[in-house]
Amino acid sequence: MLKRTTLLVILLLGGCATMPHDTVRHEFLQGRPEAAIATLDQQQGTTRNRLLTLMERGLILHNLGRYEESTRAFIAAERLLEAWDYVSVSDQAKTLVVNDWAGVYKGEYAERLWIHSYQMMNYLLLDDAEKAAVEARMALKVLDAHEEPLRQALFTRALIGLAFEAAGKYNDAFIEYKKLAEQLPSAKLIARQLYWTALRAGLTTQAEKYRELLTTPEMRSDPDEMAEVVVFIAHGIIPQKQAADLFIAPDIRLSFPAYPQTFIVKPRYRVEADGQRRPFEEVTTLLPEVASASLEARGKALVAKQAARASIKHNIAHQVRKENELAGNLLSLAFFLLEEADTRSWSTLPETLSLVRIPLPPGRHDLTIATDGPSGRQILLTLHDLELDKGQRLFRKHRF
Amino acid sequence: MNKTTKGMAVVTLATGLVLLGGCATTRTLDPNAEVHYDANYDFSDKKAIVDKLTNSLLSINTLSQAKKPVIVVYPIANETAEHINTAGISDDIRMALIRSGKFRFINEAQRANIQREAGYQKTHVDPGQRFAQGRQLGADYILSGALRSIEKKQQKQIRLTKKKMVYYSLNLELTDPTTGEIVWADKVELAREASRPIIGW
Repeated sequence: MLKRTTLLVILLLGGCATMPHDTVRHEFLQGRPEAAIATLDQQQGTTRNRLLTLMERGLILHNLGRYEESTRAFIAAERLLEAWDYVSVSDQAKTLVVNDWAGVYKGEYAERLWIHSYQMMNYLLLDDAEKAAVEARMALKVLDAHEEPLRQALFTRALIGLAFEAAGKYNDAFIEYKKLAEQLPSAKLIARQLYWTALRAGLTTQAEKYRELLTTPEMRSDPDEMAEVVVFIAHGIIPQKQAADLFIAPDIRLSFPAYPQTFIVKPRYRVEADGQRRPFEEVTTLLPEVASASLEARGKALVAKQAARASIKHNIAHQVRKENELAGNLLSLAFFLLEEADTRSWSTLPETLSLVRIPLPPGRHDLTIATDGPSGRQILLTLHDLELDKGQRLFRKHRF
Repeated sequence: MNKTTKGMAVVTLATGLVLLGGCATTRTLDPNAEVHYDANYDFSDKKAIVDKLTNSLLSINTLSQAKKPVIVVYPIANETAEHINTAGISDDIRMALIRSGKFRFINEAQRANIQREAGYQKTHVDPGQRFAQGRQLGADYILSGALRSIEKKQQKQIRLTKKKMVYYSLNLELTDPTTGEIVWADKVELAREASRPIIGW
């Protein structure tokens, strides 16, 4: 029994939480993305955190403007998720005896959706609308599979519509814009997209319903005669999951992951082109809200697993205590200390993601987008010397 | 069986399993063999698509027979939910048709490079050695198409395996650019169901 206990302790120690991804987040926040990539490269061999490594890498490369490399990291992440689409007996056994850290991290529903969101952005920035549309279809599968927790993923829904629009799939784009309009305070916020995609898809009756919502000349102008600048704007950084502990007995602790409740101010924007105010459309997602809803959707399964693990550990310690009280007590203490919530998450995600669409006449423009920075002060994004042709859609991205 | 023998048996079995699991094997496959590991698109599907559409194109007898028709191939649109390299399909179709000797093809993908080369030759190459410009072939027909898919997963229920059904269709058409008329169209359909265990190691 002592040998078995020793083996169990060794197994338990394997479940000790170590989080190099905290270092990655720290380096990223300090403005040292290359150092963050180097830290991630050191993690290549770790299977249980492989998905996290790829997601962080993909996002950091996207931020650096290395879109091709970013797409490769995200494609590898997509393939991993497909390969892991089953219940692993060995993984479940480890996590039932040790803790959830011992298992492979398979990502929250929201994180899976954001893989496709970043891919859509990557492909649009690379001017490959067809591949963006492929990612849009993949994103739709995730949205359909987890409709309720991902209901507020408005940025992604708008991005899906944009990807279809860019690929000339106007019917698909119109369907997505209609679904998005149901989630927005008013359809007027995306009336231009609704009207013109319906018209181009040949849905003239549907288009007429939105015509009266087109209140500015820019909205009423044929997109083929105008140009458009689309900016993907990210703000801040998503909070990390924290452990919330519940003591159901002096020697039994349950630990659950949760996102902290934070007050997020939705960013406001003001757009000027060549010194003049310009109308624009904007759709924003508050990522912590969606992440939290996504985690709560797994709540029942998490509670059931925690309860099962507590019971198994309690019985093991009890059996060992019958043969050797000291060993049993030490084991019980080890179980207590190692009961840590799995707080792994995609830590370099922003706090908010906004899709800003600015219709402009063809020609040369200097664009300024003003938004709220930390402590309420205004920060500016300036894009100089934009040469726009008729019908052209120019994509840019920025992270504050 | 005493404890020592039991222990040795377990160790031997475990070692055997580890060794067997670690054995890497490689074998050459016949590219013409139909091999599918799952329901997704693979090289066997590409072969089936190319064979069927090539045979269909070669059996057209409504095109101009006075000269070999000149065709330009535009990329086949990928309208599926997978990253599929459709350039491989159009490349194979073009190669099969060139080999048949019945058609001529314009290299659409090289147009930008040809212009670049012309620009370079204009300033760097002896006039007697430059290739003549403005003499490219015009296309008699445009070959284009789209690859689409429909995927269905089995409904959630108590089960040991989960099934996925995927249907692919590739539509290809030949368009007369003078009149805009579609002079030929055909499609290939593939459907497959794959099941995988819900529980694994």
